[in-house]
Amino acid sequence: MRTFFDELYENYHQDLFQFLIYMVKDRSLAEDLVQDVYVRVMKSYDSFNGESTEKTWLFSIARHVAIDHFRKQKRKRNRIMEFFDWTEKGEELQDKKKLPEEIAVQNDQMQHVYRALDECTVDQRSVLIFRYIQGLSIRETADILSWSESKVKTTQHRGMKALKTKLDKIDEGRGEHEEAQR
Amino acid sequence: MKKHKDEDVENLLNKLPSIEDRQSKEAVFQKVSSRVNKKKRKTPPWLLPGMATIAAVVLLAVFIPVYFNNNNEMFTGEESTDQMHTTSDTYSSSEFEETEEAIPSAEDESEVEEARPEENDNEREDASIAEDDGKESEVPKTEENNVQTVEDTNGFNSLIAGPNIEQYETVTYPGMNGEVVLPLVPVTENLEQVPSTSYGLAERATSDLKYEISEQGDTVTVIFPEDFSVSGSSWTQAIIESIRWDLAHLETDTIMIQTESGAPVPLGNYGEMTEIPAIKNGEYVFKLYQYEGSDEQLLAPVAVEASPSFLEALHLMKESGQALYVKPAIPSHVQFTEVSTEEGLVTINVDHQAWASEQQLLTMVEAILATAEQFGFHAVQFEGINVREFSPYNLDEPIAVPEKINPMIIN
Repeated sequence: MRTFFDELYENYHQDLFQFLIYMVKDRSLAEDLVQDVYVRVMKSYDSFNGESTEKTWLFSIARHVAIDHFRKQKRKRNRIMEFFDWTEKGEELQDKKKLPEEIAVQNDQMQHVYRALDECTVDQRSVLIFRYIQGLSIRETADILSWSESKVKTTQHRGMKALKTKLDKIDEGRGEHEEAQR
Repeated sequence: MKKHKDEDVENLLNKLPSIEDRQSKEAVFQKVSSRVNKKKRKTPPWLLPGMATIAAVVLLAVFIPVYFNNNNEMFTGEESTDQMHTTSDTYSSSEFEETEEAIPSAEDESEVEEARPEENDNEREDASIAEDDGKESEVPKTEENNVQTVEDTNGFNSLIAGPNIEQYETVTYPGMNGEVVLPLVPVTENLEQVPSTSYGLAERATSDLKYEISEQGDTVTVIFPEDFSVSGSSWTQAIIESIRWDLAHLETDTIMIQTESGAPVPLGNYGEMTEIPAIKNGEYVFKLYQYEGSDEQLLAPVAVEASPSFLEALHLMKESGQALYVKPAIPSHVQFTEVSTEEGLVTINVDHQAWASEQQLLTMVEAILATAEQFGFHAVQFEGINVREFSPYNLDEPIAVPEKINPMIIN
């Protein structure tokens, strides 16, 4: 088990963590999820039949771990909503997560892009992270997601559109603010 | 207002920085490994406490009436009370005589043997307490009670098997993660009674094997089933190590292995093998194995490399991190200033700060004794251990190394 873990860790750990933290935007949560990925990998290694590459298999597991987390979060939120009225305060609670240090030291525009990723759906965000942050090809992304290449392209296009809309909105808001100050 | 283009957004996404995981590789492995090895709960969580409660209620229902009946009898008249005292005196004196008889036989042994745990003294103490105690001494001494007395007299958890359970064999179990094996002496004829879960023991790796030992005891052949196969290097290692520790007491250099038809045995990554080396002096030090959430500790042999000296071995016993659930047997505040050897006796000069407990000192002493045995010494003399009270061993005398470790008393 140790040798297998060492091999995976050396080859993929950083990319795995990178994918998960950009998905969930929370360091300690990403640390927990990356462990979940390894646990699932260790438990299901026998079922890995070699049809896909090790990397594709690993990232596909990571994506499912992230999706499971979002589902659990949603169920939890729904349960809480049944007891409390969040209609007003719920909006305020969004987007108040602390930025990771690596993002906090970047300029405003980079921070806006990081925050704007929240405007994308989970699928769109996965595609954008794989394609632009991890630098994977359309084919590799399609393999990880078990999609056709055309579906990857469509999702990527929609994700970019959602990002652009959000960034445009931020710029508009900033323009109005600056005018008001003058 | 300028609208963002696809290329602009792509560029920004490409420039997003790499966010690094700050957990160490070791920390991730430890957490993952403990979760992978965690057994799923097979029974509902309320079942055991529920059954325990029912058992307690049943016991109370049985014993409370008996207790009250006995008390009533005791206070029914002076005559019966006197009679009772007489009976208990008879029991305690005969028991005391038995203990007294046992002492000279121990005294006949060598000086080194005298320095074994002060079991006889404790038994003597027990006997005198029993003499004063009247009713408690009515419990007849069975063989099993004797065993319990040796291990638990002082209220300490001893990891060394006393001479009174020498008829029981060493049986080796892999630890739960398969990284270490644990030679034990279960005090039972039925190995199914071994509480493997509470000690964190995996299934025995050698249960399907047969050991054929020559009459002289100098050669041993391990017979594997005809269809034997093993997958995974850690389990292969666990099988080999279990065999070596099961047979550690034999005076042999090699252990022959074969299938029932006499063919070589396929041992995973090792390929087909016909023999495995027996354990030699200086190959292992002893540390402590404690499975997560368990209170039970066992001495665990941890292999060392490059034939260290005994002093180096003692330092290795202070190190942590070789295997999961294995921790140092020697506290970090303990320093060894000098180690000298003379005809099988090793003298260790110890410099230390305060001990966390008498148990901590006992565990360290016993782990050192086991390691000294592995290095071929017959006895250990400790110098410089300053404690106000330490009842399990007499530290002023050389202490004999143990023949067997990890006694497991099964009630």
